[in-house]
Amino acid sequence: MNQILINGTISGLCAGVLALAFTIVYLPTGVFHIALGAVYAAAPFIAWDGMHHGWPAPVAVVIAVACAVILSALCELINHWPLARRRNEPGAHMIASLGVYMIVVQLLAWIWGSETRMLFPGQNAAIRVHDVLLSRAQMVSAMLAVAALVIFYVVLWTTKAGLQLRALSDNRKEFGLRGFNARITRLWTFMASGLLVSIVALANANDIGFDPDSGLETLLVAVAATIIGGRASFVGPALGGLLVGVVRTELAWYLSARWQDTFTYVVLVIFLFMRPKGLIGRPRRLEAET
Amino acid sequence: MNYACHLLVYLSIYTIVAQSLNLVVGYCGLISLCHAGYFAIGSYAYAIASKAGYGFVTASALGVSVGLILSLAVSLPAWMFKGDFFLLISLAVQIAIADVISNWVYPTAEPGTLRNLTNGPYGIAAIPRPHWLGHRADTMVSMAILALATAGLCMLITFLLVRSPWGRLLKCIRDDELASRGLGKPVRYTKLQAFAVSCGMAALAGSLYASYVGYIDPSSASLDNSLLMLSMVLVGGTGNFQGPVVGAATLLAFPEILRLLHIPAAAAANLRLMAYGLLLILLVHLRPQGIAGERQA
Amino acid sequence: MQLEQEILRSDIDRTTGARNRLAVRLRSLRKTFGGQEVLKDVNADIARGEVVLLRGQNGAGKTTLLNILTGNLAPDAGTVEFSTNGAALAFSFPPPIWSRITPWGRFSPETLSRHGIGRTWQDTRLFKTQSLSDNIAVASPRLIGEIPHVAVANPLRVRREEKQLQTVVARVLDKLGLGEVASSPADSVSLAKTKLVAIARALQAGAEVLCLDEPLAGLDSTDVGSVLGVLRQLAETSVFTLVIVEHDFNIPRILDLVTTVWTLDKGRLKIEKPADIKAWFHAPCVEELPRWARLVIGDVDVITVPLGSGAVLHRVRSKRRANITDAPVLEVEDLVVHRGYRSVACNGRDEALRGMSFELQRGDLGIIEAPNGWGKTALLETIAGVTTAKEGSLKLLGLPLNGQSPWNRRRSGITLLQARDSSFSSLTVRDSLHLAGVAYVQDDLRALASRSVSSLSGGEKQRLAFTCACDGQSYDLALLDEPFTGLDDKSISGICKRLSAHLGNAAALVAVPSLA
Repeated sequence: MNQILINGTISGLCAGVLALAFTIVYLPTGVFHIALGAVYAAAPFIAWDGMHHGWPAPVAVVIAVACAVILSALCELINHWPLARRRNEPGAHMIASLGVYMIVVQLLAWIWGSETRMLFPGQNAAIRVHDVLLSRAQMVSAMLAVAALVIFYVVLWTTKAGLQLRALSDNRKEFGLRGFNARITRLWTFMASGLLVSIVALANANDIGFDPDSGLETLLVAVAATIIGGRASFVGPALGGLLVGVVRTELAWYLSARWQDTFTYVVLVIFLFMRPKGLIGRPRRLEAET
Repeated sequence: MNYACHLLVYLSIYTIVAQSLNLVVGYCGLISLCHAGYFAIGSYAYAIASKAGYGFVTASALGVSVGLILSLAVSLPAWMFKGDFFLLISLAVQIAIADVISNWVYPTAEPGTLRNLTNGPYGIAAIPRPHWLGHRADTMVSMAILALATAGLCMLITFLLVRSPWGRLLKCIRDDELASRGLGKPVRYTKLQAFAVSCGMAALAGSLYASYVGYIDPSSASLDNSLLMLSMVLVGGTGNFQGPVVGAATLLAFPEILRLLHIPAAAAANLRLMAYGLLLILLVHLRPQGIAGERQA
Repeated sequence: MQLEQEILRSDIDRTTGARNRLAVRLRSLRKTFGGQEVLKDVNADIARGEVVLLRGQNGAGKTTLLNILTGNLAPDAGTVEFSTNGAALAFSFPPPIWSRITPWGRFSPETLSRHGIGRTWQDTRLFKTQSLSDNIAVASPRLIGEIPHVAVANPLRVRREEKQLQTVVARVLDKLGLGEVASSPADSVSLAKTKLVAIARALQAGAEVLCLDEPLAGLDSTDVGSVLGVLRQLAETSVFTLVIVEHDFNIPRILDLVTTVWTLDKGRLKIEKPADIKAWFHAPCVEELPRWARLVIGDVDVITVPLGSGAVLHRVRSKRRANITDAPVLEVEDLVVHRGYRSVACNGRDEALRGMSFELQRGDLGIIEAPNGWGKTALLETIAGVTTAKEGSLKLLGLPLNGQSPWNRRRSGITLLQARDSSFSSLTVRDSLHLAGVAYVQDDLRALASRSVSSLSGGEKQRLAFTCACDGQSYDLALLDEPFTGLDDKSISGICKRLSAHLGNAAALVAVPSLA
């Protein structure tokens, strides 16, 4: 009983971090950063390849994270900023981002093949706490996710950079008019997003393995969680992620793992109709309305 | 000759697909990524019906009706959402359809029964060639003629629709939904109709595909396929009648060219998808009139 | 425009005594936006054939009321009743539960439009990829060609219907003098032409009550004439009931058409006769400075430059500085400003290609008085770098600004106070001030420091926005877009005092709606 709740909470924390990674780009820039799915897929491959070339594990992990940050930043530099400057219509960013996703993922599959791998095999040693069994990999995931969430919120609520991020998310036009370089801040948000995603990607690769194709589905669940939690703030996505993680795990246990994704999207559509602003929605102009 | 017929069948199938998707992307201005789902729905409905002994007309009519009814899954959200959020919902519908197709399976039951409707990842094999009124399309030529005739019928219907006041109304709704509502136009109902026509035609193309190839599995409902279909529409140019045909021909030529260059099949699959990705990016960046909608004077 | 038929119908109506029947009845309407009560208790009747002028200051709720009248916005409370198209239709708010669940008879633009309530928008909202004739044709109700299975099964019948329709539309366009541009796409013709088409479109949809949102805004005097001509024609038939929202600047031109004047003030509606407000509008005060300008500068020297289309720029400077010639802070040369795909804020129709030119020196207060829709905001945003100028040059302290981002312009000394959305509503007041780099905070704002910006009243928000825009980093040029909207006299004089202190070594350009 508790076992499933704990498992769900851990996967929910990871989904929450992913949802935040999506939101941190979506709120300030309005870009649906689908290519994050590719960043998610790429990071473990780089770490894995590095270790196969004999790099020590910490070095390989750091380089993988750095590559993820750079990849995400490149998306902004090459793809989204030129589009945003030309004031293209909404769907454009998402389509272009999907294009980036396809290229990166097919490249990964081409180089390394599509089978599922483990980052550090043999992490299944379990520890028993009361009646709950936890693997080492799960504990690493949980700690990383909690650390990422705590650091993110501390930065968001106490530092000047966090204030700027909140201001840019609130009113893009006014942000530029007050003399803040929106372009640089945007680039930072993409980099931060890459950082958050790579942390979860590596933790999940350590826990359940990785392959080139799982990125998009994992990210889409996080996006669904964002909308369910409330996309107009930085708290909603983490909450939504936690909720979705727990519910999905319970569903997989009591019903069937096969219908997890379908169920998630059904819930998403219900939320979009009944409560389009999400669980904690602030009154804000709805994008869906004319 | 057989190769030419094969290409002709594929071109017909994908012309229908691109033409029908254009109705949504070009005329409604909504970018949809679930068309492969409806294509697959048509294929499966056809496969199951034809294995139960129904002829081409009945089986494909069943496919079309199922596609038409299930089009509500995207057209109802289209009442409220556009842009990124509609795209996201269509993606969700796509994944849900793929999920249902690959999971409606039960090991001990026969494929096509209620417990094992789609036979999951194993797919449905040995779908009989189309037959109608005692005639059977056994040769490639007769198959090509059937495909061409179906495509011709779909083109005619689309042509009549987009040139009619109904097509004009769709474009007006795309340009300014609020203004259309202010003129008393049934905006929501019209969108519903457009999606029904579009998804129904995709399902018809799927039926044709299933009858030609004789085997279908969940990969026909994959996101890659939806992206291929969207690229066809975007390459050809949205919101006009000729564009989708050109787009379908261009994108179908691509794998054939890779084959002519003797690139190994495994790499070719990756290369093909990478090329589609690149194409999408280039289209978004380079098309001055934007991705959805019409070339402006 | 089926005008002849309509006139015929009106004769019948007159003989049956139906002429003076009520067309619209509004009772105790309320509407609140984000804690701000826009409409408090609005009651009004409109009789058939009446021409109502709806006026009020910017932000007084004119458009809100118009949106309610046309079904685009549901009020929070009250009732709306229509008796048009020979039938009655009534809505009460909040709506009863059954009407929220069922799809029929909803309070929506579709329902109201089918019932004979039409509208035009300030920015016309024509279908921009469609030709002018299609824009009108599409509005016709009950086209069989709009039923998809008929369109496929019986193309000949649809074609016949379409042919008849196009002849009718061609006649309408000819009557409006638009026959030559009938097949041009709507986004390629001038604003005046689109306004005429928008009216024709609403009539084609069968409007009996026609709500017009600033039909004259953004037009120069020649174009005003052609739109006015059509409005007069409509008013004289006394079939159509018109509700015209218009800004003060254009009111004198339409006052003789109007039978009733509604004035919205602080959420309440005052109903008057046109004669009552005539006097107010005929007071000669056209060339006079706004009252607050003297608060800023005191003893002044004014140069007034016409900018075309009813806009003027007053260059105001203190008498003490009158003889000092300084290097200009802002130089504007041949600037052409665009909003969307149309150029606005230019020197009228014939000189459309020649942009505007002016300059401001230190200590100068530039006041742009222009009617709504002229493009004040677009002009200020172009100077601040939010939108790019397609033609012309801008210089700040002699250095060219073209192509610079808004943040670079802010750092080189241009600050813009936007008319709307000028604050970060999710931040607290303290965070907002911190972000803007405001070192010294006045007492009244300090008391609000820990409150969230979204909880402030309109006036408090505006004071905060002014402080953030003008008391943070130093600047050479302040651009203020309608800075006094929603402020009481005390706040206005406070802001003027502070602006006056800043003008020692900077210039300011203030955009205000013009008073006739």
